[in-house]
Amino acid sequence: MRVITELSYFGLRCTNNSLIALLLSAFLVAPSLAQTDDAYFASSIWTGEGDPIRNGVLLVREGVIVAVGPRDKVEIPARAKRHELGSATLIPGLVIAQTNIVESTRAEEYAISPEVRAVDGFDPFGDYQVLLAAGITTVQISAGNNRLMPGQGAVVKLAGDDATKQILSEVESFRIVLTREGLTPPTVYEPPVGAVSVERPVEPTKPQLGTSLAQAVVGLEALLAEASAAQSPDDVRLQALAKILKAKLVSRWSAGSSAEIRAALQLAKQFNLPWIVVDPLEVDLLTASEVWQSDLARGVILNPELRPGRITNPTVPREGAKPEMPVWKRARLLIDAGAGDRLALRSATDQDLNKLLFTASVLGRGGLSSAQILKTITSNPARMLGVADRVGSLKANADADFVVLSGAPFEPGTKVLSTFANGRSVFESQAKNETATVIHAAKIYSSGGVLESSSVAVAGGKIAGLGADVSLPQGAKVRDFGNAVIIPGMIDCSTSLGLGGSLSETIAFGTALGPLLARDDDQVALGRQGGVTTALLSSTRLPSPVLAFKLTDAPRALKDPVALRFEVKGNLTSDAANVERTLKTGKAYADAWTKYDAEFAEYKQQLAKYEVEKAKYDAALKAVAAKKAAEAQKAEEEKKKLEAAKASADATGGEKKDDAGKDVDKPAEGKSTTPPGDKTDPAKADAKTDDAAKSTDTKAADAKPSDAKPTEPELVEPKKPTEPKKPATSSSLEPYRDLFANKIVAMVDVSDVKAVDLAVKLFRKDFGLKTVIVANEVASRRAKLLAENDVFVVVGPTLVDTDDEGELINYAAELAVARVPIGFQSNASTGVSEMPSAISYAVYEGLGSSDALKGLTAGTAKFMGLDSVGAIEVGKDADLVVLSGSPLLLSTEVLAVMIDGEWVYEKESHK
Amino acid sequence: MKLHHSRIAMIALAALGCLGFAQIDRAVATGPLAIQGATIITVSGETIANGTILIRDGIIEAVGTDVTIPGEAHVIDGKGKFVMPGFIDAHNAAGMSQANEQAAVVPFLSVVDSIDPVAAYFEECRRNGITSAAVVPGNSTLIGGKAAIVKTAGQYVNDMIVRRDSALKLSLRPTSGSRMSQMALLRKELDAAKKALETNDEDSKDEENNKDEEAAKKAESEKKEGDAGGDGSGEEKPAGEEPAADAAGTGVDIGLEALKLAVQGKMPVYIYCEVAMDVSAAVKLVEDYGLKPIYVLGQECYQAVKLLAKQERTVILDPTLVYWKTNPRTREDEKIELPTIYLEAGVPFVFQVSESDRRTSLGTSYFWYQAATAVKYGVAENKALAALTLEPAKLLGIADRVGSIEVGKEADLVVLTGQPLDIATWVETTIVGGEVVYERDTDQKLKRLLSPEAE
Repeated sequence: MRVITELSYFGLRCTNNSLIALLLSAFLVAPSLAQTDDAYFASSIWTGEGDPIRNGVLLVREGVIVAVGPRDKVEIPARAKRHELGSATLIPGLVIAQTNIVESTRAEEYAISPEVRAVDGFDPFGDYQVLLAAGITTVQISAGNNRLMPGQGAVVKLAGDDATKQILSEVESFRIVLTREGLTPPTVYEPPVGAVSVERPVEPTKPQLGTSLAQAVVGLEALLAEASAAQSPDDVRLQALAKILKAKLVSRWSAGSSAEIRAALQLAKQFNLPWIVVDPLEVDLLTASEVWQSDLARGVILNPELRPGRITNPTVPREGAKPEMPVWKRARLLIDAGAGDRLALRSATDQDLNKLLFTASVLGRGGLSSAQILKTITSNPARMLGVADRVGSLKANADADFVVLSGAPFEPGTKVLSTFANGRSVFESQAKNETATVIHAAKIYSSGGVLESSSVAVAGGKIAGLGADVSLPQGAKVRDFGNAVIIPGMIDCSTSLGLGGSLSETIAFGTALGPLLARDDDQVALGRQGGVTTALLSSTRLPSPVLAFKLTDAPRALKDPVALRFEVKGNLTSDAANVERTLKTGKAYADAWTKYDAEFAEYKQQLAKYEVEKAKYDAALKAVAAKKAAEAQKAEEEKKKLEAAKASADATGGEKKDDAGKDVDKPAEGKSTTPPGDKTDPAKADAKTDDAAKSTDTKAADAKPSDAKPTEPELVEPKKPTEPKKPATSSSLEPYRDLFANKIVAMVDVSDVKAVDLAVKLFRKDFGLKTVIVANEVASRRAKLLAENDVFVVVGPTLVDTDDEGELINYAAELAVARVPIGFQSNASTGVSEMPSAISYAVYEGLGSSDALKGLTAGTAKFMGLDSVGAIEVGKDADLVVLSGSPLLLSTEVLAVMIDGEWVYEKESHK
Repeated sequence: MKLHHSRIAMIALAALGCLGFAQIDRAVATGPLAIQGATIITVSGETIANGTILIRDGIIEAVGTDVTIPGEAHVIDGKGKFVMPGFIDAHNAAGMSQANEQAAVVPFLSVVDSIDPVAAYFEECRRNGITSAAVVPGNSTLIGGKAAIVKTAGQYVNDMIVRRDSALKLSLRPTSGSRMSQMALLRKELDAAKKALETNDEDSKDEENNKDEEAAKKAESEKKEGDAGGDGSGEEKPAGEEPAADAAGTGVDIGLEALKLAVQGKMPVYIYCEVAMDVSAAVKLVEDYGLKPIYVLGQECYQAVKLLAKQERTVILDPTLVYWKTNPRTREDEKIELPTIYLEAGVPFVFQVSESDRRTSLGTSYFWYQAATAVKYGVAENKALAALTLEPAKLLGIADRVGSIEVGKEADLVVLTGQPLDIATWVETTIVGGEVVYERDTDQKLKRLLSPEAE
């Protein structure tokens, strides 16, 4: 009965999204509160005080922390429920030192209202999900911001089973706002005194103090003095103040400038009140060492002055003005002055409270460690608010308010995974739940056989684990389907789903259908309810490209195209020729490209080689040039000598003279770099090896006079290979390249037996394509031929027929018997959902259910080259179908369908 | 005396031309009255088939199957009809001329000064089988004044009163300023009452003793009145009346006196809670000041149902029992069924009907409809019927007089043409204090409404 009560209570307060989680947690926690402990293991636990505990454990009993410490130091009772949080980090629930989250639809009228209590404006039934999701479990609430003395603050928890117990401190402090906001109170319109009666007495004007700091301070002093002196004042404000002063309530001063802070400290001292200074901008008075030796110094609350996602325009400081000290520097100075345990950070506004884990990291600029920063939003504020025994740090006997983070606090990418208050989960990250699921069922048809009573772990849309004892991914949601059977998502080889309507136009082979898929198509949503998770789509006007896609809300193209679909129908004489011509054109195109590809590969190789050679050559050339320059000089000198000699003796042979002349010419040319080999035909040069070139050079050298040095033959410039010519690209013929490379398959619709023969001959034998025959009874008559030629057959939607004699013909079964691999098609849109039932009839009439299932899953996936689907196997896409019983029985029902790790269909009762 | 009043009234009404159903054959009521052969739903006990009720001097003299009807008795044939205790309205502000005040703190006011016996509300009550009603200040005044319990038939307020100053009304709905300042103001008043009591205690213990004696005396006299079978619309003197009466002479604050009774737990306090957070505030007030609360709940208060369950008190639900609500965060609509929620949480409840200006709508303006709705959402039928009769009587502290058909109780009865929660059922006759105050046969207004051509 108690549980039911709780259920209805939560159920009604929560959204549908979190309803299940909360219902579950209510179920799980209610008994555990009574009997068991909960042990949370995490890779690190930041207690809010000091260094984090590595490999820690937090033990919780009845909403209270029993123990916290390293795994090996804490004794865990045997009955304790163990929660492995893996790499997660635990931190205390955040405590915010000052907020204004109170009900205040109407503004208060008077500047001084110490009798107003913020706790009366706290709505324990409010929706604090945003804050809980940010890890905030406890807040101080303040009665107002923009009045001199708005009232008394309180400390409340944002979640709890009992509304009255959420209030940790009914009266925590009374607030005085000395900053400009407080000194310009809302104007009060005092209406002229009208008819006076017993119920409308003339009341004295309430004290409204002046709008300068000096006036406010004098007024406050007088007011406090009056309150402390008065015995039993009639005025409600003085009554409240007298009570406050008597109880030595903490005074909370909003004070920015030194002047304001001085006034605050002086008044606090004068009336012997403990104090907290909020939002100080100048800290010179607060960093005096004697300040923090006083018992009255409760602490300082800093404002990060940072609103994530907002850009402000800072004013240009006046010349000579003291530059404003950044908040992190103030924090640093305060810590150095001894306020380390009395320093808290609040949020600049209540709207930004949920970003505090980010904004707090700004203190890191002041050299504060993560542990120190965490203190300013956990244990320090708890201490300052007087609630440190219950919240703010993870220690024995404190409330089990903690936050599970995905990583270390203040690190980029760290997310709040869940938040606990009093040991009960009050927030669970949706993202966390979506990432991993563990599904348990009685039978799982995995690629390695049927697994009994096993689980599939799904993470990131893929199958992450499989088996009886599957390891749980971090934060995995466990779904137990009991006696259910899980099979891989099925493949429908021909549908008209996905485009929001059927497709009957002529489509060029080059058209990509993937980008045309419609999102959130109701037809897809209905079609997948039968367990088909992957569908093939083509135009009904053949030939057409075929697309394979996933039936998700945002349909995902799996392979585009997965096949080219032809038809061999009608007049076979002309058709055969036509198809052959088409294929030939395609083949020629593909061949041209194949050739080009081969040539291009060769060219690439050559080019690489050439570049090496060229580099060598260039280097060599430089050396030669240098040498030649030297030689030329030498030759010049020799020439001069020779000329001189010639002039002296002019009697030599003509032939020699020629050669000599040639020889002489060259040096005269000086820089000539043309080797003799260069003059050969380029085509020949291409074929020639270096050796050949050398031998030519040698010959040339031989022909030269013996005194010529053999350096020149080495300077053969390597031939740059010519790039092969690209064939003309035709987008409509482009898919043929994959087709003839057997990367995709040819689907051939046939009309009769002859067409089958022709298709097999043409597509399979002549052109060697991976061939899929789309046919019904005609295919079964050529089962042997098809089996011999490794042709795949798509059958359906009619699988069983009656012949003239009333005999049943089970096409699929006949093909299966002949060992022809088969797949199935529905040719339907929403009717895709009925395909498994249609096949169940063929199974009923003799088709082996394993053959049928293979045709629906792995067999088709393999033949079509859809590698990521069709099997339950680690690493494949998490496309799963949960059935109430054995697959392909009419009595079996689809309970749920998962595509890419997301539940896309669940039978109502299984939600 | 009584007869005298009604005669004057008759003459007055006739003179004004306000004829119709109000013209009642009072002569019959003076003698014994019997309802014969009806199905009697006693609420407190078993339902009696083919039973007879004998009424004498406004009191139920006998109930059962073997009741001898004296010869002089006026007999109502109950064959095929159902007889129930008259319905009791535990909280309404319709019987008075103006529900709310402009000033926030008016504990010194009493609704008795504002009740209008010829208000359409009372006419409607009789037509719909309501025989007792608590008239309570409205929901928009912080301390709204003192409520009174009245019978729904009578020519003068004093004839109708069951209990004057039956309870104090507080409303936590903020009307000026925030909830915080409202609460500060309320606490100030309650503190003042508490403080005044402490001073009183110190000052004069004798006076206190006197008061006790007086209270005892009064209780005795009340009892006597009951035993004597005085007329049902007779007046009672509440605990709080004595000091208030004194006040006129001594200058004592009447409002403070009412608050003092409230913080002593001597005078019940209606606390109107508009939203769930008001419930926790109310619970805190009750704890802090020792109040004796009657929680009057707005629609949204169901969120605090766990907290209410701990209080173990019968609560008064909002007139709208089932409604749709949009979650502001997810923008999802959810159906809120208050009877289901309170039933599952184990919080006993009674109903309210929507106010007279909205009475045109069928449904929530009828008590039988509210009970039928509760039955639809899982409340047992006998519990639902008790929530119209005996439960509110207990809540108001008048169960010793009304709320069930028992020998010795006041004869506040309603004769129905069929099953009580059936939509085709009409109220045939309404009897208050043994007098027939409504008969459908003579209900001209109803006739005009149902068959305009007959005019």
